[in-house]
Amino acid sequence: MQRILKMLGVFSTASIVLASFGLILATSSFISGLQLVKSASIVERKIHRFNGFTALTIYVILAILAFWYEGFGFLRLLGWVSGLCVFLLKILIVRSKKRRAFKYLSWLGGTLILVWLYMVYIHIPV
Amino acid sequence: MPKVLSLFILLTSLLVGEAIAADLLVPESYKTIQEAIEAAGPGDTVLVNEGVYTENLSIRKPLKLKAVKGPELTVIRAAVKEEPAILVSGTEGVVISGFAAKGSLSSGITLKNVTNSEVSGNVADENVYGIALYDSSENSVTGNAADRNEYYGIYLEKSHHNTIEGNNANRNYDKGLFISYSNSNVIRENTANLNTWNGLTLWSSNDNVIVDNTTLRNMYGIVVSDSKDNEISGNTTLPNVFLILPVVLIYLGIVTYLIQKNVLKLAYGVR
Repeated sequence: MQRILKMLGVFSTASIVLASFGLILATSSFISGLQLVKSASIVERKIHRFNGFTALTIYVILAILAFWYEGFGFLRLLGWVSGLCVFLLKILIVRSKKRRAFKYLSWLGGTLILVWLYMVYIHIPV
Repeated sequence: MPKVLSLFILLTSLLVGEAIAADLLVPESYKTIQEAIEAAGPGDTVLVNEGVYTENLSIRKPLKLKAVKGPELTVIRAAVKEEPAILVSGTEGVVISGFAAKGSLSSGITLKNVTNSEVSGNVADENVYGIALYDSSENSVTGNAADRNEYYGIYLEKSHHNTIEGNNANRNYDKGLFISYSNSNVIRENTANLNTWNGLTLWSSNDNVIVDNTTLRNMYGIVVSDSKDNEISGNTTLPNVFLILPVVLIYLGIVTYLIQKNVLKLAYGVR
């Protein structure tokens, strides 16, 4: 029990709470995205869009918090912009409606999961 | 009779010893800390009240240098940036306690050829080196914070039999702790997180005890190179939470998906 309480103590900052929500939503969005490849269900589309855009909003908030507390820096800016580019590229491909490009979407979705895993990793308070 | 005489001599010498050790106050009695250091005799205590002191302190005799209000309020800023903010050299039995030592292109606190001394409760940040020991032995460096330095938080070179305990060396732009050509030191319960390169590095250093330290989110946690017979145990480089938390969150993501799916199916009347 003490170990569990100690582990819950990790949620001591707003940024780790946000990053955790982000990973949960990204996972849910990723699964619904995979389901969408099989069939264009309205339920899957709603889940995918809602979770995806909420995760993107959380990402932007985390970026603002990072710049607010840690200050600007070239590498920091590069890192956050690179992550944002993955989001934007995915949205761009989905919106383009080119079937040929769709095969890369699951790769981009996987990359977004990796981005969120990294988000959780860097926000665990030490 | 000789016993009584020897007891008398012992007591007298103790009393005289007590009387000799004096407290020198800065800035009440001495304008600068260095003036007080110059005026102090061996065994005296220089008590420094709050303030920002732009000086390079040089200590070459056994004395205690203490900040009354602690490192938040007592700052030594290097006047000559190329020199250490606090330099202790060629002596023994020195105590440096409760200061913030900043702004040096050399180091915040340097011990050169020093023995049996204590550096405790200081903050040595925003220097090139935080706390550096050269050719120094049997010293104790405890409870200091050496963060955000250009190179290393705590650096030992050719220094043996020292105790480095309970210090923080975080967010340095090179390494947290760097033990170089130094043997038989005890490095215990230190924290070296978020450094750009290594948390703790042993370089050509033997017979050291490295126990119960924490090194998280550095490029490399603990690096041992060209060293032998060191005891390295109980250190934390990757705590369980870093592995368990992502797994739990992904599991929660799957559960969230299933809940959302069933709720929306009900809402849209989809079967």
